[in-house]
Amino acid sequence: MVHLNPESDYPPASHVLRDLGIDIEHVDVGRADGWLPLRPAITLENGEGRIGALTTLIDCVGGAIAGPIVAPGWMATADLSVEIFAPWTEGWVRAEGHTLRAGRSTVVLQIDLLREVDDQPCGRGYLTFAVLPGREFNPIMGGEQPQGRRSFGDPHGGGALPILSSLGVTDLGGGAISAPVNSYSRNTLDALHGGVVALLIDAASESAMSAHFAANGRDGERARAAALSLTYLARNTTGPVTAVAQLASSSERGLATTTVEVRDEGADRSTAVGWVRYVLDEGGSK
Amino acid sequence: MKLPSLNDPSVGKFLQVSTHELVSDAGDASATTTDDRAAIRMRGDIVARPGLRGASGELWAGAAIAILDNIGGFTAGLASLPDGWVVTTNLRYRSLRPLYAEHSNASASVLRRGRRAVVTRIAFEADGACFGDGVLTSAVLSPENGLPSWNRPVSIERMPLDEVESAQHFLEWIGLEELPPPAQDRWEGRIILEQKHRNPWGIAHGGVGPAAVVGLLEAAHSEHRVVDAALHYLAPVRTEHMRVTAQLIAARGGGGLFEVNILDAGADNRRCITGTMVTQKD
Repeated sequence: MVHLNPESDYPPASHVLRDLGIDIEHVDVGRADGWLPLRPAITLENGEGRIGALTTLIDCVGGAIAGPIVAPGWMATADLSVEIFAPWTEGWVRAEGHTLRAGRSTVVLQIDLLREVDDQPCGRGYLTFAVLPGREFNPIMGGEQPQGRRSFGDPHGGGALPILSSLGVTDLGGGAISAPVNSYSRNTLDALHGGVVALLIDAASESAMSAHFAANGRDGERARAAALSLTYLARNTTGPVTAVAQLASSSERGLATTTVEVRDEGADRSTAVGWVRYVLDEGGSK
Repeated sequence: MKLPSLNDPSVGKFLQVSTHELVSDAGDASATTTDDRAAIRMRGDIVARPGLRGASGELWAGAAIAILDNIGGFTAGLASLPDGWVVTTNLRYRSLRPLYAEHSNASASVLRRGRRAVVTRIAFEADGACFGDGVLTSAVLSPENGLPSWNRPVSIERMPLDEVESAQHFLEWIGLEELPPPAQDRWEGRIILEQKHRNPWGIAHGGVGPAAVVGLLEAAHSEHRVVDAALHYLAPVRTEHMRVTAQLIAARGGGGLFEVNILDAGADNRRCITGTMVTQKD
């Protein structure tokens, strides 16, 4: 097995985590913090940060906590849910993660999100990791963890493109999208990063909502993603990966939800299921 | 050895869901007893008597969550045989629209069957439409007393309820006692657990605590109903003292987002289930 040097081994020089600009700090055993800056690459038309990017931050903080706990074994994200309850429109978001359960088969974490601009809570995530036995190709995150806040981020501010463009996401229309699996988006297990899967679910749902609005003569309207839930079924190793979202409910009372299925088309298998819940503001518009 | 059964005088009996293992996708019922375990599909037939309905007459979210845990867990258990049986680790439920029909069903299918975990999807359907759904993740364990065995395909009919139980609402049957709110926007309740609340392994059924929290929230907000739950099972409730709490995180969309916890009060208030629920105003 390879001992992972979190200072230098991962992520590679050109990687989605660097373009997102995520910082991580190990606080203590079972605790870690993370930060995500609001950059144009993840900013929606209404000025808010993308829920998929926040979910990626949660997944990274979770990995930083769980890695040392499961060493010399490794882990894979099994279940993830995030609720966003206040808009994030400027500055950094801080993620404070702690362990709820560290068992032989699973590690369960809670990650609270706070806006640094006013130190107010804006979201909450829960993560369940499946504990995997150590294998030859697994990295090990045990032992002394690096002190202080370390940055995945590009000091020059990351890519200029929207993050979905950098990931090579193609909108196939009507709630379907496709993306490749490559070195830009892989995780330490050589599969699509769990946070990227969340970004794809976010993007597919957004496409489905746009299609819904267009079909109802409400072009240009947007809804705000308030929650994202995700259950991982298998790794996305080959690609292309498709995410197909369908509108599951469109309520007159201000809520709408999508259902999303993610597939690794190259491996011919379902790899995740999820849903996104939207809040429709007054008049159904943003 | 005591075998797990939905026919136990317990939550499963009260819910009165007759449960049937369906023919597999391969078109061959015997496929469910071969290595093609992921093909297992179950259907639970629901009769929404008054005791399972909410204030507006819809299938009550507390009952729906318990049914989801029951049939999703049972399906996962069958899928995990002969390597083990299962306990719930994550439960996700959402109501897409109120389900008023007297007759509906909960369909469960296996999304993933791994060595250590099984993921099932459950859909609540009536007249060909989906009214709600959920995903249940279960961990595969080896019970100390050995594994249950079933005649396949499984078909379990309802056991008759006595007059008292027939007239009770699920929340009344659970026996939730609301406690004075300890703080603003915080609610608490407790349940004295009896045998009927437990599964065959002696731990509280996974639907009891969540249903109690639904009751707690809807009692505090009479015009609201629970439309979403994301629950994480951390440990079993073993003692006879269950405590349930709910705390408002944010008001939004005519409802609220709540942190919910289910504690084993007889074990130093150990947190056993945690997560969030979302309510929506009727």
